[in-house]
Amino acid sequence: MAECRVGWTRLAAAGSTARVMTPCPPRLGCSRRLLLSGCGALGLQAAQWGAMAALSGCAGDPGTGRRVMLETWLDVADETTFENALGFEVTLSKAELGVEHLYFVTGDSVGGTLSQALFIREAHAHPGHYSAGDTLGEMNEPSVLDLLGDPRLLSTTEGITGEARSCVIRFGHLADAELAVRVEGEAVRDEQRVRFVATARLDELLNSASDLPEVPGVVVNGGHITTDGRLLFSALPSVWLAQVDFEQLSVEQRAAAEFIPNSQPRNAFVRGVLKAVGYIATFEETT
Amino acid sequence: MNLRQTNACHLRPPVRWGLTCLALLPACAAEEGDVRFETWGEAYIEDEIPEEEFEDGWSVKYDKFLVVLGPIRVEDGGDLGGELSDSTLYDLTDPGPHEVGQLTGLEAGQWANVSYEIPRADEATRRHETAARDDLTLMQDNGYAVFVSGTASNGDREMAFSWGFDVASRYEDCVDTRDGQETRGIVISDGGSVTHQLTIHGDHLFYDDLSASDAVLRVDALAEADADEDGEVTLAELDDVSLSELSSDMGSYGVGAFDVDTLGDFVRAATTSLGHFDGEGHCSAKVQ
Repeated sequence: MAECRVGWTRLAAAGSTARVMTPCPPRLGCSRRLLLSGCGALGLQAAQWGAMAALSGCAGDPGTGRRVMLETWLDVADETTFENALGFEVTLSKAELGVEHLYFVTGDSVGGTLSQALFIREAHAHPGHYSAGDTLGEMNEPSVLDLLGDPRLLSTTEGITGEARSCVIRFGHLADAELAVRVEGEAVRDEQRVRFVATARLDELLNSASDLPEVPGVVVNGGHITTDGRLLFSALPSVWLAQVDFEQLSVEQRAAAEFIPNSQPRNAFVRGVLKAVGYIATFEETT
Repeated sequence: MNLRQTNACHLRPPVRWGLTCLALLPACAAEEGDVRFETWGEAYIEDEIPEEEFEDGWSVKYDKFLVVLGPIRVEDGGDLGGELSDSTLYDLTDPGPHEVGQLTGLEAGQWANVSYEIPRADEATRRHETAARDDLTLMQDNGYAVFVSGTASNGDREMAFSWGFDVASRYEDCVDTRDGQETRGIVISDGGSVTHQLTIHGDHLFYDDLSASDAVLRVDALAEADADEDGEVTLAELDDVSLSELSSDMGSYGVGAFDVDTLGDFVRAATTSLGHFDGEGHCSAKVQ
């Protein structure tokens, strides 16, 4: 059993083999000497964040650790019509995502894209080595994000200056208490035309490293937080649906086809929702 | 390896700030030591990865494990202490550890930022005595950074593999975890010589998850990819297997933040976690 002491909050996580280390949770900003790194699930307890103000006056690099006000905005960045990897032209009519929490943290993103350029932003030399580091900002109001709607303010919270390198997305519920994501639309390839409803429950979206419904390691663009600013967050259903083989949906004449559990469409969709590259996070100064 | 070493006395802050350089030279010269680097593939590469390490009853024996080890840099907060700048090809199935190179005259104290590369082979890549001439030609002609071949066995079943990877990676901020404590980089003692190891973990190619702490070793999904049923699984065959087609009993094949959709890219991504430091010590790895 590996143990992690974060301030006064002790987190515990099961270790497995001697070679495998467990990931470290996001820590509060400006607290490297106070909060010992160790091993545990990515989860934060509310008390940790609540203590941020008390800790934010730490001495150190004058460019980091100052309190600022951060707005978190839903940004709508994706196209409503796109072609997926299997040649289907997909047109979305609905795309909703439940988000309970967003953490903007100092830890480097782990992973990257291996597609054409075989480019990986960053990895670690063992599975499970992603370290979220310190939390510099957050969105702490559970929200249902309408990804086809207009940009909107999600929350305004206190944050801390520093380099936010990645973002951790903690999924939440839609109005339907079991679902965390719902996408509807139509997919067309040659003579095939399929109306579909893709959903995933919260318990299907567990991160394999933390066993929590979350996606760590989303790259934050321009994440050097020096002043008050906006954290823009967007999700990309085009990535979620990129590997879905709509041909495998059983098509009814009138109803939209649902993604059946353990089918290729459902597996591909869930894998897509869990991909860090399916999200974009950006910091913008407001002054 | 070629040694391109800076004069630590000129670069490190305590000296740089003082100087009035001549007055401090004697003290600086007196506080120096050496570091020697070696590489090793451990028993998993030299002998086999035994059945008990796998979740699904397989074992793996490599007959080649070619890896290019490139520049090794010893730094501290941007101050360069020294660099072994060559890239050299090793076959780690040959019993080791194997000598890589040595940096001498490093200022005593901690050098917190040690990095090394596993670059693609090019014309400048040298051949260590463990690797054959044909091996070097293979790596140079294809720009491979890593090439592995061998056999996975499970009772009567066998899977041959011969995979070349042109993914170059760089391992930064290596941490020494020997003796149960974490030390960033290396510590040079006055007049002493320390040895550190670039350890290559051959089992990582068979982990079933790129990010989970409870990843386990598996072969089943890889073996099932043998579309032409000739007993050898190629990277092209792995590229044809979508991760979303795998049943859950074959492993999680979680990709974390990697943008990986096929078994082929999954194994390519796994090559970026081969490099370690002093056994189990880890580094931040980046693909170049």
